Amino acid sequence: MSTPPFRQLSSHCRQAIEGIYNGCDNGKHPGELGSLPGHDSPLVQLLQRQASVMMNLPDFESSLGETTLLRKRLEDILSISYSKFYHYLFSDVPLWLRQLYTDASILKFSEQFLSSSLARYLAGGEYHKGANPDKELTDMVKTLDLAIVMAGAAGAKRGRAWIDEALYLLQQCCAELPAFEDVDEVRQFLNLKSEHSLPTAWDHLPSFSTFEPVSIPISQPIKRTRRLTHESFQSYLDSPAHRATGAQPLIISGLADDWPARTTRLWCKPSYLLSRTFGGRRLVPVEIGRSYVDEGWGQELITFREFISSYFPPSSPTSTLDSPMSLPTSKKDVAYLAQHPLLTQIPSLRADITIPDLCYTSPPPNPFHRGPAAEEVDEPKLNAWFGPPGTITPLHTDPYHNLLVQVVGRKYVRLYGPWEGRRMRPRGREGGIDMSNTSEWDVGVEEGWDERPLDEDLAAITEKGDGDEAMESSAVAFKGIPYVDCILEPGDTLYIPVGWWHYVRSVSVSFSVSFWWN
Amino acid sequence: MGWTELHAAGFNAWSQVLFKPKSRRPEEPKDLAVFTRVLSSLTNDFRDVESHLSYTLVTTSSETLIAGTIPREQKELFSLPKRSSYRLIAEAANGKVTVLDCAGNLRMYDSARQFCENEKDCVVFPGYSEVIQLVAYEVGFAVLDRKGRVSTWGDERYPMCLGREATEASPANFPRLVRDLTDLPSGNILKIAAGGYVIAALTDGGDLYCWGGHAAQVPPIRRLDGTPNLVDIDEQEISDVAVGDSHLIVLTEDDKVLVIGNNSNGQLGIDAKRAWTWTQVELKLGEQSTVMAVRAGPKNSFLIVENDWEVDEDMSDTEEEAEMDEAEDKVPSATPKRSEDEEMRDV
Repeated sequence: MSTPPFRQLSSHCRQAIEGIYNGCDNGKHPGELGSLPGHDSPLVQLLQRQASVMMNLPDFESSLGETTLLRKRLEDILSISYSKFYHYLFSDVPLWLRQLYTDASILKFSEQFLSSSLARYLAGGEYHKGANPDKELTDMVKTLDLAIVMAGAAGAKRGRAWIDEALYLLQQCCAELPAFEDVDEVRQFLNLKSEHSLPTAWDHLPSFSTFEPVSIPISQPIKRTRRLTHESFQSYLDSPAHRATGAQPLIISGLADDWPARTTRLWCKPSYLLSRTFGGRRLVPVEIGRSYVDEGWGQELITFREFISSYFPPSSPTSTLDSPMSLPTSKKDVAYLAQHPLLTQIPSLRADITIPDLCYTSPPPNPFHRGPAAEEVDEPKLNAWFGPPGTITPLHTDPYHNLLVQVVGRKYVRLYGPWEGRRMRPRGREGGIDMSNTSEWDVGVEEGWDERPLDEDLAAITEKGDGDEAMESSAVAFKGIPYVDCILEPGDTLYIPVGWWHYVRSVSVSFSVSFWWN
Repeated sequence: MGWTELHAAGFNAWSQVLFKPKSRRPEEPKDLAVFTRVLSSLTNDFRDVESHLSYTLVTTSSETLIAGTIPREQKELFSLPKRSSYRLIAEAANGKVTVLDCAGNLRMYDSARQFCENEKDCVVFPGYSEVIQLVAYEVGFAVLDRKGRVSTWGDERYPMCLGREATEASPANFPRLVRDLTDLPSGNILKIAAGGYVIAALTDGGDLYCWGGHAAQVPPIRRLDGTPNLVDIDEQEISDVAVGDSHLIVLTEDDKVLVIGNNSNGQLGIDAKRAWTWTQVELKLGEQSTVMAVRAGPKNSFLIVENDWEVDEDMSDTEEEAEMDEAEDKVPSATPKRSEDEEMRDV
């Protein structure tokens, strides 16, 4: 008989505790905290002491006095390391700090699991009245997701592999519960089963709404083609019509027709996405606000369920559902899961797509870019883009070639050539961050799809004296820049050559995956 | 003839507020939930206390007492020889180190390690011989000179901490004057303090000004931004101020101690999770005892207390111990609800 999942998870935790304890020794174990360059030795020592406390606890439920201080100290380590993240640019956070955060999260999760009423129950213990297993689970998942999202689940010995395994086993633990259904207490646990917890109207929707609040016309359609072979795409890249400009943007259809995300495991079904996200418990980073250049824009980590239920429109504007659908909390709030490696965070979703082999072509470098090229990537970089209608990415350029695959809903994309240079009004340094890859032009505002943000209005008036006149001449300048545009339908793939300015806007609920390569 | 005592409250994960021999420390030290005497019978040449994340330094004219865990480089940075060859030394939480040398140059190093490896490998800002105080906040520094002028510099991504505009002529990473702190109604700035993303300045007339802030963190006081604002604490005159990561502690002209901000580790010495408004700390001091100064570590607070009358030089250790245990036991806030990690949510 195979080992039950809760035993597997318990020993998975116990091994991690011991591994972390040993790894904190100074300079003894390559790849572990105590050997990483620049590590803060008092913090590593504090973590080791907590691992030691955990190793010496005979069991977690009867040692409440000790676990109170233990929890507090793990929380201290997490909040101290988190505040240190702000000392660096996100891409420069040193490995030791990310691994400290990850290992502290693994200890915290282990403590949460080993002392949980779920573990106790599966081990044959009593059911605790007043326990809230649903909340326990949500907290456990949160602990590990924070390590993934904040710290990249760093660590050669444990890191992402350990966390993926722990989350898998935790789901197995929940799946085991229905076997005890005849036991009275277990019924209380049954709302743990991810798909059934907090049932809302979302779980019964056949698909996301196709409602489009703003209709967006296409004026300069991008060329379309049927599915391309690797060879013909390579020659498309190598022999552009105009040598000076390089290959043009291109829509390729049929590339994602056989993806499970579009055939058997449908991403347009809310219940499917919820089931893949631990009943919607997984945390995702979302951008709150219209555009990342707006005042008041911010990022938040929220559960997948909260994201969908607070920010997505109901199935259709006229739909009548048996229970009232929760509407967006505030009409002004837009939330966008943007440029997030969701498919790395949730490996089971990764299995629903395939990397197009067109990403294994060798594209030419950006002919208009001076200075060092972006670092070469071995594997295409995958990002998910998921949000309600009206979510936008302002006009910007990327240092990679891009295949943007539309999986759910419709998306408007407008592109300007990289040769436009100063006419695109690249931003400068803002708040210590180089923003030169982002344009000052707000396509949605210039085209009348969005209202002009209030602070911009004031700035224009104080700067130019006469606001209306200044804006008018500005609008003329903007309209004069040539562009191409398109609306991507489900299954379409847009090739965006490196260096092209692009403005992206979801017309309906939209889920896209981008593949960056060079 | 009196003596001085040090009282502390707050974070103590490395025993950094306990000046006791190692063997006597508990294995996993608890935080101190209330202000507790941690050092007494100091000689009268007691100079100062400064507390960092994992260690506390108490300086007298002849030695430096260290509590907690101090990394090797920091031990050298704050050693007596370095302290005597430099007029002032400060280390920011992001690791940057600034010293004021005897020629009046501010010298900034990327890290304590860089300072230890090569004291010449630094950025030099000359012309600061008038400086009397050098303080560090999370990602930068502030200096105060004899004429009451305050200059700031630091990470340009957190411009509010500068208390001035960052422009090409007056860049964030060079010490530049905070103009808003000149010609104040209550006189010159006499003292500055900093911690986290907050900088505080105190005028001759006892007015407190604060500035700073971090877009993703709950500010410890209201009205915190990029301009020095007058902080009104019931119109009381302030005689000393100290700033932690996310809390402030002040001493008023009539010897009251008030605190505000986060109390996650007991750094306020009061029984509350957080103080949203200035809250007076009820201190159990003798009649002849007076709080002379307040200091703050990132997550703890210190009181320097002076006693006016003679007693037995040697406080009995058992008494001190008993006091300490009592303080450690009163840790109601040390039972965190696992879901309430506020700071994590403010991403």
